[in-house]
Amino acid sequence: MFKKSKTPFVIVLTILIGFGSFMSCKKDEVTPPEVEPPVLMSTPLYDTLGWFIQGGDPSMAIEGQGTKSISDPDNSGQMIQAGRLAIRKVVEGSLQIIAGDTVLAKYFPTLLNEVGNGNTTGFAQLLESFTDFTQQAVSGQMVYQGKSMADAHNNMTYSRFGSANQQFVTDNADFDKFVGDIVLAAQGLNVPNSVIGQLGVILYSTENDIVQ
Amino acid sequence: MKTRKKIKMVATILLGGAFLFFATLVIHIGIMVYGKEALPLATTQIGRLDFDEQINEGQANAIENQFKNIEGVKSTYFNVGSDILIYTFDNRKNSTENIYKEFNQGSNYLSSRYTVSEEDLSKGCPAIESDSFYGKLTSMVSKIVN
Repeated sequence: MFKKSKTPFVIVLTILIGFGSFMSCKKDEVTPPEVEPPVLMSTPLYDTLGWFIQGGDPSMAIEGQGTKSISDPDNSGQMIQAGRLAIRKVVEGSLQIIAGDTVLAKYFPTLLNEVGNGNTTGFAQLLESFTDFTQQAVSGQMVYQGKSMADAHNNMTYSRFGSANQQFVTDNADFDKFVGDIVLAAQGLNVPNSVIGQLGVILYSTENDIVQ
Repeated sequence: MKTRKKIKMVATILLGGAFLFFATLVIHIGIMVYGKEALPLATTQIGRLDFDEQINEGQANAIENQFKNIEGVKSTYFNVGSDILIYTFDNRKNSTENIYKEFNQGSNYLSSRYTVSEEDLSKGCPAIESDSFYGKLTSMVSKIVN
């Protein structure tokens, strides 16, 4: 009698176990019960912004206008919440002003980063991340997935900010300038001062985390 | 012989384990990014021109208009106090180098094209690190599954 190898047996057993696991995951063909889509969080400020970007009177906060799904003018075939679109428009204008601001441009070199033809730009990435952060702060929806403001602006927790030898000094004057640039962008879009004031309060709530 | 067999087995288990972990990570990323829409304005890039002379409001308007006629340029913003022009453009249609060349062909102003140094690029916001290994892998998987 010759000694039989166990390898084919182990392979067959593994396949059987894998197949069994896969089949056990297969859903029964039963029509799922109709589930109501989750209600998205909103605030009067988010509703006002959503109403404003649709051409409505910005002195009113009409419930549901912030989360209303409308067609995205900058992303063909995609839909976007009206409130988010308003925020993104303000952020887009702000980033251009910041890129031309001699005091602040040093904090955002990624904005002017040159990339190859057709590649996603640093501007697009920062626009998305900054819009997510502001949308979360304004609407209460948990959409921001980046680092905390404190971690993102500290070289000890995020090597891309400052350096171990030469720390950027994020002082209060620079933060005021940053908020000022956002106000300029919002004014350029004719966002009413009452709304800009509320956005300013939200921005200043992050000051202690960013100015370290 | 026995030791060699043991080493071989341990190496196989370690390599197999590493491969399984990597495969799990790739599949996880694939599931997370599947169906994710492309970023809006993904190919919109910012360019900056620093003027060597003082530019007044009227001249700034004229320069902005000249820029808006260049292929691919989408919007402009002139910081008059700092003599800096910021413009956005579609990087599928043009490049900062070409735009600068084209502008200079029809302009008498002295200016320089602003470029970011590698050193500066390594330190700056944003809060999501797209240059990291995880960032690059996510972008690669996203291109494959979408």
